[in-house]
Amino acid sequence: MALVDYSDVQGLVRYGWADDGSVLPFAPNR
Amino acid sequence: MVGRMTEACFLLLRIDDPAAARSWLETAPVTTAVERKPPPEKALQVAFTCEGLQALQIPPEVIQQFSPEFMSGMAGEESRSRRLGDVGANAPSRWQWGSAEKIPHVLVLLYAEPGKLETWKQTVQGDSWDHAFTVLDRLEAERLSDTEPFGFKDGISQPTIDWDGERKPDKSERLEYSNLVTLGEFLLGYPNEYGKYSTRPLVDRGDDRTAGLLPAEEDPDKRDLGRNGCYLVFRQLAQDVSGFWKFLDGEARGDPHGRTNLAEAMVGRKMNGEALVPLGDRQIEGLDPDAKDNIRLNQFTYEPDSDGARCPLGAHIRRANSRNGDLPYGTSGLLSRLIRTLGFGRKGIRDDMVSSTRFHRILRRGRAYGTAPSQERDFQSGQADNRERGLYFICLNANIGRQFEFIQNAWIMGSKFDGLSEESDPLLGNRLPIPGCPETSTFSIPQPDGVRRRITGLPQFVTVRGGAYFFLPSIRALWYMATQVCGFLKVEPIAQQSERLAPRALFCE
Repeated sequence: MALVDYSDVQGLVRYGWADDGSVLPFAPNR
Repeated sequence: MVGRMTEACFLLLRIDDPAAARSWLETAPVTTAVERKPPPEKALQVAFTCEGLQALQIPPEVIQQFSPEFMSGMAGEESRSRRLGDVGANAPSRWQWGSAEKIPHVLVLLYAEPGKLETWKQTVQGDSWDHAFTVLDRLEAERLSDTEPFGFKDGISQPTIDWDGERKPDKSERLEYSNLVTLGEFLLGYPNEYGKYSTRPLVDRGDDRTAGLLPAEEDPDKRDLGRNGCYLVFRQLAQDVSGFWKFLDGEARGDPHGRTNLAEAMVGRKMNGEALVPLGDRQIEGLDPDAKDNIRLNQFTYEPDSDGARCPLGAHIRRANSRNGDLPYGTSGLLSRLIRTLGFGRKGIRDDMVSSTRFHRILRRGRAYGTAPSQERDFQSGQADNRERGLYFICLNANIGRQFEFIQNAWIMGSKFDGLSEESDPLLGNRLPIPGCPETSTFSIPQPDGVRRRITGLPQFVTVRGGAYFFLPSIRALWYMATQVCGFLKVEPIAQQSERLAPRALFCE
């Protein structure tokens, strides 16, 4: 089970290295 | 390679009508970190200053539990301004926004794929927007690039967040530099590198009747308003690109190779992002080997360059992250650790002059503004223009004082960093005297023969135009802020309340 409830975190999942996650506040790297 | 949401705009708002602002917040399509397929084309994030929380009528007893730095604000105290280097041309009294009556209440961060930002702005604003807010400033970012305005590849090195809690905080030393940092250094409500919880508000269970705030880990009887949120530092930094390259050109006496070498020494990387020191053999924890260029650009420490012959001690990236463990290099065995702990065994005068980096990491999410990044040749061919360009510096951390402010004060502005003297950051320094050091406009480059080349009279290349400390709340905290009003609660029919106990569904796109 994930430690963090990502639906409660502002941000955007990182869809790939140096993808959108690099420019938005939070980007858990999956 | 850059991300798909190449367009961005940051809106700085003042709240005119708190009820209308809360109404907007209730329906704002704030983006969450949940994975979606296909990926979203646009995103919205919302953050608040302390003044913004007051304007939103959050109870004072809640606001008072935020960290002192957040409550004071970036421009709230002269001593803070002095420590951050915000004096002289950087003084808040000269800022375009962020001080006195120009302190924003709300920061709205908008991101979109090419051509979709304007439509997204209209969508986000909604019905209650005009009644709720006055736009204090509209900060348009330049189309996303991997190059910052001086012309260097940027955004290369970021800490890796330990999202899954693999790294257990404990009290033992970390002898090696690691790029994996505990979740609590960036997200409130989780243990940080000290194994403790950073300062944020906890509210009584009975005071949260709508948002479903999560219990505080260290005090389950309380509800954690900070959990899954963080502090966001925003600074508008104008970069004198023309002045930067002209100064270097003068120092290099017109030699293009010498000019570039000097620029790279000041930054601490080559213009293409490569390190000035050799890559190490040891896999650095937290560097994803599958990530493009990550090993090639980041698998290094300054251990083999302790005298700064390859990368000057005062270079910008060495100041911003000196990539060390908790003890000086060479401290490995039990005996040497004991000797260090007892205060003996110093090998050189500079030992212990730089703190362990793991307590002072930040997550940078800045964007450039102004015209497209200029190449240095523009200035050599006389094509330079005087239009302002720079960086919207954005960073995330859980402890503003220990993370952003420490880096900015002790490492960037500090004239005694790593045993240096008469120097501050070669890019960000304001060149003004500081107590005990009347001269800060020098940059020294150690040479192989042991003699340092000293560059004197560095002008100021970067000027602060504005800034503020924000709280970037979790989705649950946003809901709390939208529904909790000082002195009373917005009462809704019970049926509606129960539907809204799952507020995330309303906030996600």
